[in-house]
Amino acid sequence: MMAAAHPPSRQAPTADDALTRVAWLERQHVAVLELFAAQAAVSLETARLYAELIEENEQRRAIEKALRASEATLLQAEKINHSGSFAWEINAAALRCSAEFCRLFDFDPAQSLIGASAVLERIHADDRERVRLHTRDCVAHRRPIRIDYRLAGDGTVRYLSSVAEPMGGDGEAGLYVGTAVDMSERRAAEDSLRAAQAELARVRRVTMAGQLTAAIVHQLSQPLMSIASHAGASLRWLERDPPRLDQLHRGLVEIAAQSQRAGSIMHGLQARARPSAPDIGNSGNHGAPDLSTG
Amino acid sequence: MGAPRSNRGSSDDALICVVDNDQPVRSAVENLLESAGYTTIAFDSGEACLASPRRAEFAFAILDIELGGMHGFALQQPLTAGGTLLPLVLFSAYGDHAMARRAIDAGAIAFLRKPVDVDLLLAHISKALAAGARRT
Repeated sequence: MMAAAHPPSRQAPTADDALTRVAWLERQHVAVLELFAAQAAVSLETARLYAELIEENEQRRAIEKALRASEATLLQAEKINHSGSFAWEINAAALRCSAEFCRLFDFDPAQSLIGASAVLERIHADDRERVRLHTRDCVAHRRPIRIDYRLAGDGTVRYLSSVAEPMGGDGEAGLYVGTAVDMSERRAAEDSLRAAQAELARVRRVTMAGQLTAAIVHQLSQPLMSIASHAGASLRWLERDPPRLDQLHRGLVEIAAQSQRAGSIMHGLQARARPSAPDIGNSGNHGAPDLSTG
Repeated sequence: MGAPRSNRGSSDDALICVVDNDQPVRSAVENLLESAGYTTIAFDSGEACLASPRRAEFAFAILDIELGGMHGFALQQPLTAGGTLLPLVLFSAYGDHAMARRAIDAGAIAFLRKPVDVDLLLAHISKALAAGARRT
């Protein structure tokens, strides 16, 4: 400091020269001001550091808050989706599990580390060996795991689907991260959809069969009606005295023609009934009935 | 029609109306009726039948239920209404008890399924005409 370099002298104020005195006083003032300035600079620096510290704390709190919110969202999403997540530490033979994973596998949701064998034990006896062999094989080759299996609950069976992928570099083969999703509801929905589709197909078949039957009945009844009438007529013409052979002849010709008509109808229906029947709408085939006619 | 006259029955001049939209069926039923000695008049639709100037001469009617335009049941009503009491039979390729019931309730003598028993059809006609002859 300048004030320290020029200590005030007791003799100095005795000088008569007013100007000299003023100059000295000014010098003293400057020294004091410089001291104040230096201290202010220190205070400012302290305040700045303190403000930074507060800001850093706030940022950390905000990050922590965001992290907690993110985790809560994830857990909520898992709950809604019936989907649990896990990190499987192969060497430790244990899984770090989300709460939803624990719920799915009927463990205490507060439990976060579960032994791999305990998890395997929850799997349906008929699927357990398959799951064990498949996962062992995937881990050995560092392949992603994708597998569907059942969980044996108390009386109910739940259908789950799991995917997991190896994490980290080649040196960290010991960690798989994945999810387990409960497919039971979707499966039940798919089952009922399949049942509804099967029923629809059955009704459609019955309806088609009914329409086809109606078409056959209608179309064949006409030539048969003609044949029966001509046959009845021909008998009566024959019984005339003398027999009306001209009319008998006419009747027999008609009977032959109507028999052919019936045959054409049957062949047309046969062609239509073949699975590979090409464009039956415009085939223009001889006498094949149109299903739409009444 | 130039139908030959039958030597059995007494209704040689009875005019029988046939309504069916299938030409071979009309022709065959006419042949049957003519072989039995009746005179026939045939129509391919209910509308043509109702429009016929010879409608008053019909002694009997045979109607197909499945006509192209006007349904057989719809044709049955004007033919059996108006005090004429035209005896008729309805026939159809299909037919169940309900359809037969409906035909009889509406005044038909019989409901017959195609292909009809021709002897039964002719028996219905001769019986109805004989009853009609007794009434007049």
